Amino acid sequence: MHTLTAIIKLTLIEFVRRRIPLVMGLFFLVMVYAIPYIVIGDGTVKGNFQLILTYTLGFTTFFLAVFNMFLSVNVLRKDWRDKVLFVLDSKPVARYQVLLGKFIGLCILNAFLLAIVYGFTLFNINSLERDYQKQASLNKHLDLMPGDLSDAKATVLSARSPLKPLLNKMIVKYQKERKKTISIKSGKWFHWQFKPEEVSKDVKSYTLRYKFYTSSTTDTYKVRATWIIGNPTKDGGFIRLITNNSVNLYHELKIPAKLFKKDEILQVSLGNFNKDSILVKIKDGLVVLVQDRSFTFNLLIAFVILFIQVIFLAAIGLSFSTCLSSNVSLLCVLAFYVLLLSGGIVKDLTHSKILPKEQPTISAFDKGYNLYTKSLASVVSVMLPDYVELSPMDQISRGVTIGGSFLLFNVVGIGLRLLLVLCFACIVFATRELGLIQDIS
Amino acid sequence: MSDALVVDVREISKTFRDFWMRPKVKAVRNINFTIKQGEIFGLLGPNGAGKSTTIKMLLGLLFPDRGQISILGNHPRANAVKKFIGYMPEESYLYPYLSAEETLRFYGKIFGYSSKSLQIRVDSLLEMVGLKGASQRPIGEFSKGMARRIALAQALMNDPQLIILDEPTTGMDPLGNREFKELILHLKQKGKTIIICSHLLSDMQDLCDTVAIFYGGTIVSNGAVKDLLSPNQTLEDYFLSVVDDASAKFNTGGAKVGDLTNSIFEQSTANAKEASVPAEVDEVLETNDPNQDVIDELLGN
Repeated sequence: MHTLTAIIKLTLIEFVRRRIPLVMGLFFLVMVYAIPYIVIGDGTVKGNFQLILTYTLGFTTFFLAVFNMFLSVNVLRKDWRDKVLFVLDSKPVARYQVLLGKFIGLCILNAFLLAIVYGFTLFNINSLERDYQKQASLNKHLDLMPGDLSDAKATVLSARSPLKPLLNKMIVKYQKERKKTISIKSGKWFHWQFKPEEVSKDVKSYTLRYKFYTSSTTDTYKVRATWIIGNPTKDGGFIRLITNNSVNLYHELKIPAKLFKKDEILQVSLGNFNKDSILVKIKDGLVVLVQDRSFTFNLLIAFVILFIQVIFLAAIGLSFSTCLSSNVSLLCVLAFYVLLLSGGIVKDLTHSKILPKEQPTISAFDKGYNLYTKSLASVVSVMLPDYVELSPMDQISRGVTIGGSFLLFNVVGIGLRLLLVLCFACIVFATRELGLIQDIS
Repeated sequence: MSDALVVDVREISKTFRDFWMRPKVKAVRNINFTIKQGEIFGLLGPNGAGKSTTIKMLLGLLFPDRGQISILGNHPRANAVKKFIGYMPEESYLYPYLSAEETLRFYGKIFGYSSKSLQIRVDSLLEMVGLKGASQRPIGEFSKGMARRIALAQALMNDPQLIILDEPTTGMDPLGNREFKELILHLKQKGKTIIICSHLLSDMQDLCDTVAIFYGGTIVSNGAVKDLLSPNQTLEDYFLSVVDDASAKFNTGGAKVGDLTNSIFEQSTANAKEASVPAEVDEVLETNDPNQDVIDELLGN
């Protein structure tokens, strides 16, 4: 244990003496500070707030990933090139301790940088409140959300959707027809059905969040919509609302909690009485939110997930550096990062395009080929987490909270992959000859 | 010096290969030697003879293609045996961003020293190598000689039973050289086993009990110094004669080591005569000890 702590301490000293935390910390501080001035919001308090958070997490993810790619492939490789590893290897130090110590040092550095971004993001968001209140008094034409920023914070990042949409048939239909948008023609109604998974007695109201488009090209076009929310055929009541909102912006409605009953279907019907069709995107057109827990805690969960994703990338870089030169390792980890970002696409390709479907095997070659493709698909499934759907940014962009189960999935899912990668790296590193004059590149 | 074997090397060979696993360099071929406890063992040989490769195999940095190595009865890669080994590489491979004290403390922590005993040990080592005053300076700011001293100190951190020194006096001043020799003799008295690889043959003659002369990846001569040398023969003479014979035997082609040495003497003589150097210098030229400092002085460098 003392050996491992000595190596961790050495790694951190190296980072500090090379001024890496200082430079990167300043970089992220400036970036987070500048984002509110760069991002053009959708006009609502909540929308702007959401965008700022999305871009903060997005930029942080990207730059931290790039930074970790470079650092992780060099943290071990530099010692190897400078041959200080010769001296270290002559001491009673297990090779896995060297690798683990470097990795933990990287984790601590990433945690430090993320803590800076987290703290400054909180400060940034809280300082927006004053700006928005001042702005609201000056710009009464802006379609701002009722209530103050704390109300927006409460529902953006602390909201979760307790309703499971029963949209499967419609989604399948529209996907098959390559339509990702629901079109409600003039004079027609469209119905959504939700099944409440859990209904809390303490909740007084839920929030229906929606965003419309139309075929009109005018940005200031307003859509008049009639809502019927509840279940008109059953006792328990329903509410009827008429809204007149700008297109291409998020809007919200408060729905009384009495409409939500466990194991009962909640129907949301929208009637279009405009001359143009109303377009609603399936992906983020309609969602029901409820306040869950504190914004600060939920933002912390987002950053914890980000941390796990980033250290997974660092482990990949470190793993490559045990058997490849710095430049080749960097290329490989960059390729892996691209694969991660397009993980969903890669999985679809390997499973649907490459994996043969119901082909009768007629020869030993076909059998071998099928086995190969199945193995490839299995490796892809094991190594590539579903990044496309697991990004905290995506969750925030849709206005859905980052729940505990989501966190658990990340911790367990990516954590297991991380352990696999580290084990592989330890095994490879333990079998390498450190004293070679030229490394394999 | 007892009869217990500290190092036992049997029939080891090492061939470096390229990316396509084709043999590129046969660095070491069928080497056998043993080192007893308390012995000072010298590895001699021209550049590229396989000395450093052999040392790296003893430390487990390289894996022999064939043969067996036993260090204190264990495999060289076993962590249990590394507790008793101290290694000083041919270059001072140290962390440039650490100070001298931090470097020694780091290696001391690896050996499991407690804080209090570590401080005492670090202080005594810094004093021993004469760098107490520069203990807080980063290694990156050290001169080569100072870095070598720290490299020596870290090799002795764990009071090892087996000390491997690869070109230990490179970059050291004459005072440092003398102190180093005294240290080696002191360590020998304490029963330490020492392997030294050096080109300073006069020092090696004074220090080593046994030497092995490498040439072309093999050992061409191995034995106790007193048994190998004839009366009034220096190790330098013996080394050159062995290497000449080996060179002729292996027929490596190109300039032989002996030819190169002779040409240095001839040039020195010519320069001396041109400069009208007094007769005493001619007598120095005829010495069989081609100490580089002497040659430089004669050539006017």
